[in-house]
Amino acid sequence: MNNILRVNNINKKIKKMEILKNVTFKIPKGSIFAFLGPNGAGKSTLIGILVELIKPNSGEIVIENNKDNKEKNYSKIGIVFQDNTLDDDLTVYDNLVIRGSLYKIDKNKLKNNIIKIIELLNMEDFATKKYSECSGGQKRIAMIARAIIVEPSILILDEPTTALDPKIRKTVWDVILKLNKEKNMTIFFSSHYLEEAYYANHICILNKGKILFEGETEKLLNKSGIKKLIIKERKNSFEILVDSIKDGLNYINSRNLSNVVSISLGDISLEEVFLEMTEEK
Amino acid sequence: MSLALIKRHLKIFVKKPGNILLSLLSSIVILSLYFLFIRDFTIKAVSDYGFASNMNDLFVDRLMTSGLLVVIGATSILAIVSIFINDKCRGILKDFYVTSVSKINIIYTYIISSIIVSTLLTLFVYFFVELFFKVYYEYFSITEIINSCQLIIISNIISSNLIFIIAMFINNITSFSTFETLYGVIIGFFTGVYIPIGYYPVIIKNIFFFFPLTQTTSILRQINTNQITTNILKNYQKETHNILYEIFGIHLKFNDNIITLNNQFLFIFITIIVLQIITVILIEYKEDH
Repeated sequence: MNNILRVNNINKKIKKMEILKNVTFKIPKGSIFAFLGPNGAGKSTLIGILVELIKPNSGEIVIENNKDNKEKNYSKIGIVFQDNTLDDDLTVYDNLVIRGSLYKIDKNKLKNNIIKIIELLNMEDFATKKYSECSGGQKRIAMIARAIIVEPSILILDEPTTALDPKIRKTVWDVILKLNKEKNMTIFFSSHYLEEAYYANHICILNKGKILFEGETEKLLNKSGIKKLIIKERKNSFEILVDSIKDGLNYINSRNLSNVVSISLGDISLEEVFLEMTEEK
Repeated sequence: MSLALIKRHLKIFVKKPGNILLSLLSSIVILSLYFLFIRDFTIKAVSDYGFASNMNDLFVDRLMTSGLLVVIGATSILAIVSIFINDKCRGILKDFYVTSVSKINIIYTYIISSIIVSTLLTLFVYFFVELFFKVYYEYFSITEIINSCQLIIISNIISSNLIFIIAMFINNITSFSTFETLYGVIIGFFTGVYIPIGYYPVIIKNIFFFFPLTQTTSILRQINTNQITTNILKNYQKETHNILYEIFGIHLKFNDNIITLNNQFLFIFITIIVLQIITVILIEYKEDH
């Protein structure tokens, strides 16, 4: 698979604190890439660097293998910020026109783009509504629409469904998946909700500014080495996560073996791998 | 420069009728304060200095409305500054920064919008001020009006740049509200609207001298009172003329030297250049750190 974006050895210090340490990863073209990590891991800083809001101390971002491209990447990357950044007092349509006018696009092309986006994202019902009068889900979809006005190759979403209820989260995700499927748009998102990582086919886990894992979701589950043992005793059953089968057996030996009825290997979930990899030991 | 962004700021300003009402209300409050408390006190002060003329009322009204126009311009800028602070706090500014418009251009769209809004509001008030002089005193001078309009624009350019430099350091609405209150009060003293400049001790006068709006107020006063002062002072010896000019802030002094009109314009020109340099450096510096 071709890579649409490469992050090479990014380092960022803020007030002598190392926020990002040699961060390196690749985003495959057309993929859905989940960028996971606990609070303070450095996710927002890296997103800021990707959209050129923050300058790294060292390292480079290469988009579409174009190393010499000195021009701003504004039209290649679309971003949906965590907060709603459209104007409350203006209609969704006016917001899109104003934001679109800030890019070097022909006026007619811009209007056509907006009309197409409104159709694509089923925004007809609220395009003429004031942004402040839109529901939470409509606001997020309008933000996505704003991000794709310039038809970017990559759509970056910084915690796109934070503070939304599960039903609205599903609606927003339907829109994101539609863009990936129908427009072959590469999706890069950070999230607090680990279940959303299941939408991704690539995962990157960042902790304390360092990459702990980068690769396909399946590989993460297999490569992590973490095993789940389901232990059934006469009166109860429980699960433990261990780094190896040997560790598991040592643990079982430490308990009263006469009570153990059965031991089996269970399927490890993404949440469990994530917590195991990022928690303080 | 992004016209779309300037239009956006103006649209947001107009969409909130409260913005326009509050800006005009502040003008009404300042004018009311003047007519209720400051006017009589200042007219009496002119007489107390020995200038007996039937033009004293007209002189004081022209003198004080000149200061008021500078204050109104300076305070009406705050409506656009509040949009800027709100955009900064809500992350809207970030949303502009990821577009093809440069950061410097983005900040300047706010500065230009504030100059447009403050100039329109000041000229609106100025229209009624001149109407008052025409109706009440039958005083009308087209040259003074044209020169005043030009100076109002220059004064608002300086105010706008000055306030935006401060606004770049303000990161929340609460701090901005505090600044707004303080600024509204302080500006009246700096321009000699509440108390004539000549009443302050030398050290304060010297500090005020370097405040650019004190200079623009002084020039506006020279424009608007030139004919009247000539008339008032025609029966008085030249030595006494400076009392009228200096006490009421028509001419400004640094230590014992009166600054000439040409030097005042030079000072204003240099100030505008310096303010632009500071603005650009701040935008670059604050974005990189």
